[in-house]
Amino acid sequence: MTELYLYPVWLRAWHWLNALIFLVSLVTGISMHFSLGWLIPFEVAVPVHNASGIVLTVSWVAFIIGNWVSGNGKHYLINLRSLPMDLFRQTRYYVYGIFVNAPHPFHVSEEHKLNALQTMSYVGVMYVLMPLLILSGWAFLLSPSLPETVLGIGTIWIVAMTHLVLSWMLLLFLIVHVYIITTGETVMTNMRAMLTGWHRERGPQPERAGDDAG
Amino acid sequence: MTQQKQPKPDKPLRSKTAKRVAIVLAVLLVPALLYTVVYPVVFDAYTGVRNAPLTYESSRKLTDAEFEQLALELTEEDRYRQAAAVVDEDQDSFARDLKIEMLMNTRSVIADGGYDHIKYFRDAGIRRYEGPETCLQCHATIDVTHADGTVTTVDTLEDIVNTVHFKFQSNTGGFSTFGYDGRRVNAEDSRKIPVGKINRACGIPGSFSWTGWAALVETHPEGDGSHERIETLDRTGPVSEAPIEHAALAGEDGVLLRSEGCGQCHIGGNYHPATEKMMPVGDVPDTAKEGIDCLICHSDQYDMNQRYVIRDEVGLRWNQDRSMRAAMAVGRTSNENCLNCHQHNMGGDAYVHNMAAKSLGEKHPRLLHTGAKRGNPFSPQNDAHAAADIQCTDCHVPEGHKIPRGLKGVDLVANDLPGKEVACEGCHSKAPHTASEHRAILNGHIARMACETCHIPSLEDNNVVLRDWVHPTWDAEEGLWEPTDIYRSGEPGKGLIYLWFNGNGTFLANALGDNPEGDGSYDPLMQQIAEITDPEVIAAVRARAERLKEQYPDIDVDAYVKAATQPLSQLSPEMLEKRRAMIDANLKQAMADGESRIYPFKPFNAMMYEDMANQGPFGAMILPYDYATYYETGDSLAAMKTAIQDPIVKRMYQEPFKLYMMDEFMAYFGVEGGWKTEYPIADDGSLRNVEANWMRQMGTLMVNHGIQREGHDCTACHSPDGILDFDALGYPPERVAELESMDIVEEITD
Amino acid sequence: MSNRYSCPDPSRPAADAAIRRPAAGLAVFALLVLWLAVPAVSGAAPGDAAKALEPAGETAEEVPGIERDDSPECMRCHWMETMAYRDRDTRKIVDLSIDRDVYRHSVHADLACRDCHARGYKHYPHRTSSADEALHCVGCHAERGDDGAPDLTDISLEFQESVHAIEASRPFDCFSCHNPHTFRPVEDGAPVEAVVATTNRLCLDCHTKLDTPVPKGHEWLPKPREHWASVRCIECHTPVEGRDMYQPSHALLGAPESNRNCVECHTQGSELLSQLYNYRAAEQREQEGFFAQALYNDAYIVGMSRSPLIDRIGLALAALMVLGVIAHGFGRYLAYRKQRASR
Repeated sequence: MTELYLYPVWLRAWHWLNALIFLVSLVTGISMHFSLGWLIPFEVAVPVHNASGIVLTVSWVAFIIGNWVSGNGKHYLINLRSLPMDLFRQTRYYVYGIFVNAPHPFHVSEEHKLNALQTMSYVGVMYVLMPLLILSGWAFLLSPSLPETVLGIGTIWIVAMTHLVLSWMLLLFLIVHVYIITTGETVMTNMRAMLTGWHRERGPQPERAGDDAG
Repeated sequence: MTQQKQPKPDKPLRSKTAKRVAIVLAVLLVPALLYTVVYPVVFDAYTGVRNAPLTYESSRKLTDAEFEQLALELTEEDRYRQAAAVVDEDQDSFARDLKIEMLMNTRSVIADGGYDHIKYFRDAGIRRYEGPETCLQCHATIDVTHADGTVTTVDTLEDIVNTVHFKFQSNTGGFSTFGYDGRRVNAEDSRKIPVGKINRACGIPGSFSWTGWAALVETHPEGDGSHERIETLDRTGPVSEAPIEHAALAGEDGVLLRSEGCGQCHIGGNYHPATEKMMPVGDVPDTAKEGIDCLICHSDQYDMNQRYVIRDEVGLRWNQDRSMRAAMAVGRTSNENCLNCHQHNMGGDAYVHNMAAKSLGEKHPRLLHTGAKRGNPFSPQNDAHAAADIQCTDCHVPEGHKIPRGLKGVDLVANDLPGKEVACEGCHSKAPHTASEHRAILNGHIARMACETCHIPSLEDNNVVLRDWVHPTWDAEEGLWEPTDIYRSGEPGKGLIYLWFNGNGTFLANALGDNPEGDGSYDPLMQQIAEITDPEVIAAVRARAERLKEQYPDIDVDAYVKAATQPLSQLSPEMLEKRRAMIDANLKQAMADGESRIYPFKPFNAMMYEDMANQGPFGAMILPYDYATYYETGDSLAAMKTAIQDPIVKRMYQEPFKLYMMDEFMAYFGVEGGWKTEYPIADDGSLRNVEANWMRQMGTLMVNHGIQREGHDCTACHSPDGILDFDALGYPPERVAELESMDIVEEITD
Repeated sequence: MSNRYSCPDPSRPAADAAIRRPAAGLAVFALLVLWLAVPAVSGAAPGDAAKALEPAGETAEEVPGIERDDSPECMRCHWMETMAYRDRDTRKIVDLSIDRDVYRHSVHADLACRDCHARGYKHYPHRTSSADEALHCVGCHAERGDDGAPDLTDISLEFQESVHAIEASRPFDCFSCHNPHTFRPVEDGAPVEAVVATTNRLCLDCHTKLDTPVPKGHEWLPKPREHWASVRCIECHTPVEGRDMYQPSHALLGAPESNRNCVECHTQGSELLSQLYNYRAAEQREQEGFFAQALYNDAYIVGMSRSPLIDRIGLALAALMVLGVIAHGFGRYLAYRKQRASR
């Protein structure tokens, strides 16, 4: 039985706040985009979406600063040498091993709390998609001061389409993210970890002696 | 390490680092030292200008008691003025006086009356006015509001030193001025040269500001002053003023010293204009800046009697009023302040309502120029806006000390704010006529005509059109020789002409424009401003020439009249051909630019001595006069000779000046091949290349003041002999007939 | 500005650069160019349609109205572009000038002055003023259908219900907004901004107090300036029902009745789309996906402008993803059962 304190309070607080903000943005965005007045009325959705977008920016900046200050950022460093093999193993597990009750190919440690797939997707989401989404959102917000056209295409169209495509991609991530939570040792392992901060696992190679827990 | 601070240490340095530091310091310090110490000395020696600390007699320290007494006087005067402005004038004068007295002693007028600065001076212990130094104690910086609403804080002294009012020049294009070579003067991509009154002599002052800055003229007034009066024609008829008894003012030897020169109307109190400002580097010395006359523009109580030429051990310069009385009445500039000087170029010195001319100087009274430069006064009597108490600065909205002159103009004066509009449209809408039954059709005329065309029906009668500087006439009452005005008139078609104008002008002040629906025949530089065709004017010129012949028997009247009324006849056929070609090649575009409308202009030409080595199809470099010699002896040639011996004119004929300025100047002037440096006085003292000529075309000065509520009526123009010559303005014949006949107009009663 | 709606120039540097790329990218760019070019070709149509609208007088040998009969006499004065006066009641400037070129291109180009202004104008001062003339647009436009004058009876009826007819403090007629000497219908293919600006100018010429950063009564509207630059006043200030794609309603609504429902426009079947952006053929937008829309309709409107392609791909992916997740979860459940059974 291993028990690791992986998620400090600030990280958990940030995660859940960020999740909330993202959900609000998503719902209001969908409501505006598809004119779903029954979901959120348009005149409510606009200011809420604007506000949540701004808060999301703050949240993202907080995440970057938090990672930098606390050293949590190291979990997002990709080990290029072992990456192909790690990815293969991890993918094989999700596609095959998980159904035959194979052991997890990756074990959480204080050094490595994210598996290769997680690292890849989180890096993609938090360091690529999210900033682009935020940037396009701000461009939207400040659209009157943008140039009218870029290469003959309306700037605001480019901005709108970027924002839209990124939103779709992040929605897809969200679906996977929510599901992957359940693929821990037990269905609730990962979820509990993000709530309490403690990652508990009956791993084959305990890093330190198990205590009374479990 | 004291040796590090020396630019050239005489003993070897201890380390390489120290050596390097020394070199860097030397590189920085030596030029700075050369610039601040050596350059001004060299400049003064080269140009012959002189600078010295300036003192003024009127700058006197008051005791506290004197200060308080003066404060009381000024405050009461101001309260009286406020009260008098309210009490109706058309009543019994005794009753009026009593009412004014009652009103000026009411609590509200006492609270409002007086001048703010009395209190400031009292609190700050200021008992003596010492010029800019005193003002700058509090006003070291000012906030300048720009046209776009932005506000910047600037150094007050720098701000004023860099205005045209101080330096008479700028290196901007002034207005949209075009050289005869077709280039826009001081355009963005050109090498900028200083232009303005400082270096462009024009016929009416007859001199450069360098050679004519300040002069004391010995005059010999005759008679007892009763036989002639300063008399001028108001539009309502002749108005006589109290005679100025010059003879009575003269000393026992019958000599009266009079003041003359460009400096009387400019705010620097130095021995010469701001010559240093002509160079790309360098600044006027601090002593000259201390000579700036703040109060002539800012005091309610400036005494123009203090404005005369004084001679001290360094030279001649203009005195100014630096009394505490003037200083305590300091405030924002009012129309009276502007008109202290500008009546000269508007109504004219001899204009009957010229208040400044009533105070010519407690000694060395200023010379009055009897012929007017424009003859369109800005006074309540002769201008609708002045009558409505509109202030000069309401239209000419200043930015700091820079005063805008508008986008349109053709004179040779520099412009501080070339991009800033001053126009009727600033206040009046595009449909300004509101009362008349014909308002729509009157408004329609704006499409082709400037407001001034109708609303300045005429200029003052003493408006000079043709002035002969070469053949002066003796003025017995003033006791001096003065240039002979061959023709004066303010009448439309004679002394006030109408030209197409799009805002562009030439380097010699000719309005450019073209008829938007013309047949291409409008050709001002060959016709309208290059010849006088009005038989009445020609007859008047002939009559004056005949009188002049009595005094100068050499004059051939026919030739004289021809040269004066057809100045192009002075050009050789080749020159004439070249002129034609240059106009077509270089100025057609500037004429076709933008939207031309018909504007009124004051035309002007003068006969001057010219340096024919620097002649082109549009004229030659004119030569200045020494005022004292001219007025005292009437020997125009000697006066010219004296003036061009001024060191700075000599420098003008040398290589550095040629390369720095004169080559470019000549190119704009339409003279090919650059500036010829052959000095007009040969080594043996004889003159060379000098000829007396009329300028090859008339200058055209814009007139914008003297606006009348009632303009011309319809038939003034729309009749066969109307004041607008539609044919000359380039209309095709059928349109001329239409414009002259107005057959569709049945009857217009008013 | 104007070229934003026009066809992309085939010699555009961007396209050039794309084609010059090495072979690897060539195919992709060729496809892209092709994709861009299809709407470009079909986009040429509106311009031609506009030409067809030119008044007949231009091509026919018929003398333009402004040169016929005694019109030249009138134009001896009325050409003056500053001919105008300030009305004593309204304090507004009434323009009496006729711009020859503009008139020649107006719908009324064939008419000579006296075709409308019958009597009393032969001399100056005129014996009649236009105020006494009782000129009516509908009079001609109902009777003279043969001459190509559209029947304006419907518009007249609409106008009777308009707030301008019911509540106006001053007499209000067609000429209050429309100048018959310059009138010319909006061209197909004209830039939307230009159409919006011209149309709104009609309103703002009188409603001058609304020409402010935060116009009175419109405080509720987010980004009013941006809205006004891309939406005509009449989109909200005419009834939603019964809109005609080609003829804006003249039944102007007052503030209380006007449309305040954002979703009226910010939705796909937008009323805005049906009117203002009718120059962009709806089917084209459907067919060409988001590039066509980006090229032809850069006025992106949240809720209205959508890229069906992106939305479809997005929805499909999301659905697939959900299905995949469910399948995966079910697989895991089966594996779990199997494991428990085997234990």
